[in-house]
Amino acid sequence: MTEFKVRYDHRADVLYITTGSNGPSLATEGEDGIVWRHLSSDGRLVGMTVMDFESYWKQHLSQLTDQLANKFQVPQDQAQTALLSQAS
Amino acid sequence: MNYETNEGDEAIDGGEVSDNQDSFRIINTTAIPSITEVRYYDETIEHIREQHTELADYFPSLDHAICDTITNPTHIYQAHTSPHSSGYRYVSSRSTYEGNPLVVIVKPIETTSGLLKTAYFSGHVPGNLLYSSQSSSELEAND
Repeated sequence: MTEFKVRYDHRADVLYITTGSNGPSLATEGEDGIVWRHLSSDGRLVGMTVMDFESYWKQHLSQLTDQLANKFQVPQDQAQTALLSQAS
Repeated sequence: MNYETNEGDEAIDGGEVSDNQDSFRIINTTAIPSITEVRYYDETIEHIREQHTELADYFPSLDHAICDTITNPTHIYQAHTSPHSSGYRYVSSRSTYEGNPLVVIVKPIETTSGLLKTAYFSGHVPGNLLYSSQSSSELEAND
């Protein structure tokens, strides 16, 4: 089971979600401002960086939950729990 | 593995300022007129360092690599596909990881000030090219 480590940069309003397999990574930024981090060694998806979490994505949490759940292939409730852990 | 960073003599104009809660640093930059200074907090650098071990492991000074990218970018892209993801992507081809340049995201916050959001290595940067140091031309459009 994938476990997430969640960190929030209050100053920059950036949310970092990382799996336990974090390591040297390369990133791909989507048009929606979400950065996906892949291990440089084998291309495995290991992280998600969400710009403007508080100012934008918190009001679009279901959309963000879908993306997290689909990309990491985890249940929706697990994805939502990870996001809500920093949404207070 | 490819690691390079510019260790040139360019001074990084870092000043320390207080915003009544915590101190932040300022990096002056002249590449495009819409951003003349970029603020960053130690907290942000620490988050980048924790999340991107490739940055921490391969750069002698993460601060220097990020500051150099902002003061002397090789390219700047503007992302504007959606309002919340707007901002500038400062790119340095001098600081690379496995051939992929360092990308620093800067979001405008007031007048010509920007805020450092995060940084990563990537071979693809979204947005329109505003500036390229190779042609020494400024491509920023008035929009």
